[in-house]
Amino acid sequence: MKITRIFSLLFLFVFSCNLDKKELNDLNTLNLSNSKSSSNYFFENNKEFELIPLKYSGNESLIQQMRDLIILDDRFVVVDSDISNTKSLKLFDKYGNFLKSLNKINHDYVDHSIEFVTQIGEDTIVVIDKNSVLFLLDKDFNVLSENQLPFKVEKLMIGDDKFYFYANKRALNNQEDSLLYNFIISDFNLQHTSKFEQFKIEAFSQNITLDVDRNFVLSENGVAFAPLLSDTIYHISENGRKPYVKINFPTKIFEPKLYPGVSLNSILPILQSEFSWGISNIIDNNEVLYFNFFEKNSINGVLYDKSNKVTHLLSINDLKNNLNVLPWPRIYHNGRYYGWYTEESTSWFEIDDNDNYEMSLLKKINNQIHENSNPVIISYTLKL
Amino acid sequence: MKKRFIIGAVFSLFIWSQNLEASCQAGGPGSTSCSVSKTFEVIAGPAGGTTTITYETSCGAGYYSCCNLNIMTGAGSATCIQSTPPSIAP
Repeated sequence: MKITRIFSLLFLFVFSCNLDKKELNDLNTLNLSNSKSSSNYFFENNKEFELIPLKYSGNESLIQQMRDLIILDDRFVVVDSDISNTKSLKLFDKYGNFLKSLNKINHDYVDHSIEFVTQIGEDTIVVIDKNSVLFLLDKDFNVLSENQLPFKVEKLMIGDDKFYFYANKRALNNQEDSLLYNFIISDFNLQHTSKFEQFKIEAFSQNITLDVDRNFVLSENGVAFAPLLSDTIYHISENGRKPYVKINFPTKIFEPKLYPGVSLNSILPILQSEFSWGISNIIDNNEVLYFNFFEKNSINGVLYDKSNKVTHLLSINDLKNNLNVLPWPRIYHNGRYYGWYTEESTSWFEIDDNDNYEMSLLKKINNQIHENSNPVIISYTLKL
Repeated sequence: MKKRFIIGAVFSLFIWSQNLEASCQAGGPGSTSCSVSKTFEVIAGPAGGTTTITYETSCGAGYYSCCNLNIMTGAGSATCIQSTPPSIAP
């Protein structure tokens, strides 16, 4: 009897160990066809939220296409862009009052166009210009330092006292003799500690690249990266690129090897209409792994709840008539999720019921957007 | 008649080449590299994202870069065009 009990306990112990392993494997492969379908997840699971309207203060304060948000200790930097990817910065205080804008960095009588923006800590803005000059700016946009890098940088993340540079297979001025590695990691003195995934640029060649926003981000365990056509999120470290999570999408992904010699601009229309692609807006913290992907001309969200080990597939389809919806998050900062609504994004909703509209979140947001002709940032926390 | 045709053809060629040079949205004579981009924004209620396509090139001696882009469709090109050698005065 005693022996049976011991065996039972041993069996239970081994079984529970296997369960843990299975859950870990479940995170390493997210199967979206078995996921829980949740449409209004963020509104239904928020603890509290705050609206921060970006206030109008003349033409300089107007935002065309809000691409990113840098959150400093007492202010916001909005990365704005026009249709041709020309970027500018708009500075607001933490209540949304406009302070100033920066279209180009003028330093030593030279104008520098902005390519990418990130931050170090809570009070330093890091800007990479189109010619890979790395600027550190204080929170009033004053230049603190300037460093010319010998390679093209499309994106930069900063963590563990290191710079993580990503080139997206682009060269400095498309020159075949610049330093051609897709990933370069350096210390703060810009001494390379690691570089990998070498590529080539042919002389006189045309280089066509595609890119999505926030597919190269700081995560809980270093830097997370998702290639444009891939179904996998990787971790980038000094040791190279290692798979972190593979996603089993409901529709197929584009496999370039099946279309040899086809350039990226030619595949874009079929990519948009046929495939799952473009993992972007990645958030990876101790609560969730969250990202968006494009599928058949639509955008979806995936949220893996780490504590309950549940995968939620978020679809916009059921939200068209819902008047109380929080924006899907783009940024996670100091325990809060940040998203935003613009005039274009709120006009997507269809208002059927005018009585309910009067009391709704959408009405409140619409009022603020129309009052300021600018987006409204919404920050929230989640109960998980 | 023949002379008038040749003069007309040369003049048309000159105008065409001037237009060709003027048709570079980025780059153009004297530039060694150029780049053009178009951003597609997907906005759908609470969700949003952007895709950016970039065309770029760099050219060596005797060539100039020429980048063009249809800002509506995103179709574009980044090419190297042989520079016309300067005419030498007798």
